Amino acid sequence: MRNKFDVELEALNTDLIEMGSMIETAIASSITALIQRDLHSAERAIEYDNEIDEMERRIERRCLKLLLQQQPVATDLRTISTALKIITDMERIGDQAADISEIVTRLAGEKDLLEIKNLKKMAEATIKMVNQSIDAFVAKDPVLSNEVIAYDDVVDDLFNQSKTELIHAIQTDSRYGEQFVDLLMIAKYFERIGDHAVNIAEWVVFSITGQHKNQKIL
Amino acid sequence: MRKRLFAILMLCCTIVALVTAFSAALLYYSFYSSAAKAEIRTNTALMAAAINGQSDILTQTGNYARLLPANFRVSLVESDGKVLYDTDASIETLENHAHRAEIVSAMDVGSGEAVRFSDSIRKEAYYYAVRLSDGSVLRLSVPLNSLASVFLHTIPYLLLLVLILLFVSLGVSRWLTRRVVEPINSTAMRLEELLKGDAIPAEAEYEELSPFVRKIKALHQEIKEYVQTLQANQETINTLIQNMQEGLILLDGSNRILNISKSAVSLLAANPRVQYTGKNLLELLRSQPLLDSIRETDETHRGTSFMEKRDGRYYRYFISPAKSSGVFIFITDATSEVKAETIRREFASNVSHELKTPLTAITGFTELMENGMVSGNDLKSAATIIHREASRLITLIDDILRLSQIENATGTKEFTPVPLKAVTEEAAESLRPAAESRQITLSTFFEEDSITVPGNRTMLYELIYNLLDNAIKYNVDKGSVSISVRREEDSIAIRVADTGIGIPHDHLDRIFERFYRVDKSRSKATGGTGLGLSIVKHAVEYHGGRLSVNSTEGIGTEITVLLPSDLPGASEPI
Repeated sequence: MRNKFDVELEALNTDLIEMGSMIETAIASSITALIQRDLHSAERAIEYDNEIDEMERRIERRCLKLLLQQQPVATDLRTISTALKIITDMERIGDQAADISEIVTRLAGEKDLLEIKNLKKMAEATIKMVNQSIDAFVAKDPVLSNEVIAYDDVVDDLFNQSKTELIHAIQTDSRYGEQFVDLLMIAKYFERIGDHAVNIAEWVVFSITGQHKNQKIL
Repeated sequence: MRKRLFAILMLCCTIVALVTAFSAALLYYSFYSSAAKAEIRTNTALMAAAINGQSDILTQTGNYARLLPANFRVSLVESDGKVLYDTDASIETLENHAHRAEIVSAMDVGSGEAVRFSDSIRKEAYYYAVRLSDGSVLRLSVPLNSLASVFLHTIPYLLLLVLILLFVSLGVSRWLTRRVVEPINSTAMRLEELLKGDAIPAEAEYEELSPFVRKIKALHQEIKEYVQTLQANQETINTLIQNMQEGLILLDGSNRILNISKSAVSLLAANPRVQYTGKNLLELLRSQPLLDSIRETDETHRGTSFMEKRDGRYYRYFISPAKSSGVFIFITDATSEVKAETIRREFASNVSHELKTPLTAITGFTELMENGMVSGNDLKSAATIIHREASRLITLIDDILRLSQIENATGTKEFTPVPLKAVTEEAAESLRPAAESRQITLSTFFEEDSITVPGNRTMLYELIYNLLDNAIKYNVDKGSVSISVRREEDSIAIRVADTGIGIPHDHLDRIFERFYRVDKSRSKATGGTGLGLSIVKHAVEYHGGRLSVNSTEGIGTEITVLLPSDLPGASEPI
């Protein structure tokens, strides 16, 4: 016989995974929107943002209720505080996916200059990071979490390369300067999404070991 | 049961003890009081007898009165009611006793008794009076409260007795309860053993329990059989589910996995070491379209299906509602289907494009001629172009027809021994002018002159012709093409090597697709249709052979065809 608290914790876990699934879909949609110039996907990513916000509030309420009513300790407390931290990062990823989609919508109709190889690579790398961080959360896998944390360097490098590439592009053809700046912003968004994925992975490690960034906090 | 039994026993004991004590007390009281009254009466009679007729009656009364217990009150009343003597009160203060009930009765009948509140001693008292011979009355009395107090003294002992009885009955009740319950318990404990045995019910300690044991035994057997049937069913279902190629997941109303086939886990590339049964679907697979579909199915109770691309593979999901709540998810890998569909679509668009190009040229020039805009020398060159494009069209249609012929070659495969040397030389001969025009040397080598392979002569001709044709077309000027036919183990190997331009590595997978061209601009110039290697591939497949390509860009290509030297199905009629 499972008690109410366990049932609630499981529901929390399921909600978190669903929110993870939502941000994965949102970011995948915005990347499709970016690479294929597909406005429909862009729209979907923007729609998802609202759902993600709603989900964040729902999980937040759930966490606070659990903290108040059950006064959890040890692992349970870690699980709930991890949830509270993770949803913030997830929500930011959702926002950034929507932001990327908005830029893509604005770029629609303009000349497609997306020959920035590194930007595509960045898109792939970031979605991989997000997927893996959610996978790590689902499997409660510290090894996978650390892989995500390490992979951030790759995304950072790609960002720097994209930046150089875009600066070079602006210098050679200043007519499309505005679009290049937009692309630079998209690159920055990807870089930020990578950082949020790292945050998620770090909190996953915390929920397992009680250590955040190698510091014992709980 | 044990508690109740104990409570009932205790209650009984308590009631019995109390009732006994109470009635004993009552009886005791009544015996005691009547004994006390009798004592008074006896004493009075004795005293009366002693003092009767004595001259100094008053003194005698005083003497006897002193011999009696202190709580006895002795009075002597004259016949007119005047009190002559009293042990407890002074006679002067006492009023006339002539109307006291016991005195009146004594005067009349010789003796009398009464229970009354005494004013002089202010207590309830028992009086007994006897008439003496001189007409005076001797009266003895005792206060009743002394009777009661004697009785009261016994109450603590009675209570103590009751308590002791209760204490004893506590132990006895407990023991009795245990005695009664124990056999039931032991029967329950031994139930399993009893159920296993055959004629055990008699062993039950109470025969009243035997029917129960028998009934339980029957039910037990029934349940066992039922469980066995269920298990067998479950096993059948599990075997079915676990052995199916397609993935199957059964979810309950809250998306918890009730059952999942191994194939579903491997199809979705999930971790095979994780036990997904009992977990939420999301832990297995995070897919928003799937969640949406499940929700839709839940609401409408109608099956839904959709296709999703995950990690480069296509999956088709069928979601159908379960009877009560929850859904079945059926997953198939549609990757090859989607690829085949893509190829079909590409083929359709390619074939129309290939057909349209020459036709555009032809219609263009004929239109010009129709309008009389071509004259003199132009007419000749226009006719040349029209002729060339028309031939291209014919070649193309021939190729397509041949390809579809090979592709659709079903039914009986009529294989005859085909002399490879003759076929190869025939093909080489017809291609020699083309080779010579670009100064390409064409050499042939045969391990044995009489080498034959079972097959379809026309197809094998097409195969060799196309291989050589390609080798010449995609060669450099002054290059060389060599074809060798050798016997290798149980196959015949036909090897065509050229010194041509080679095939880039990332195109190797696709060169056998219809209309696929490595370099589109070049093909136009060489006049290829893009179907040659496709024909080769199908011809090799038709003969049950194998095809391999070895190519280095800029150096050359070597294509090897291995054909079975004796027919795979030769021994059995096809």
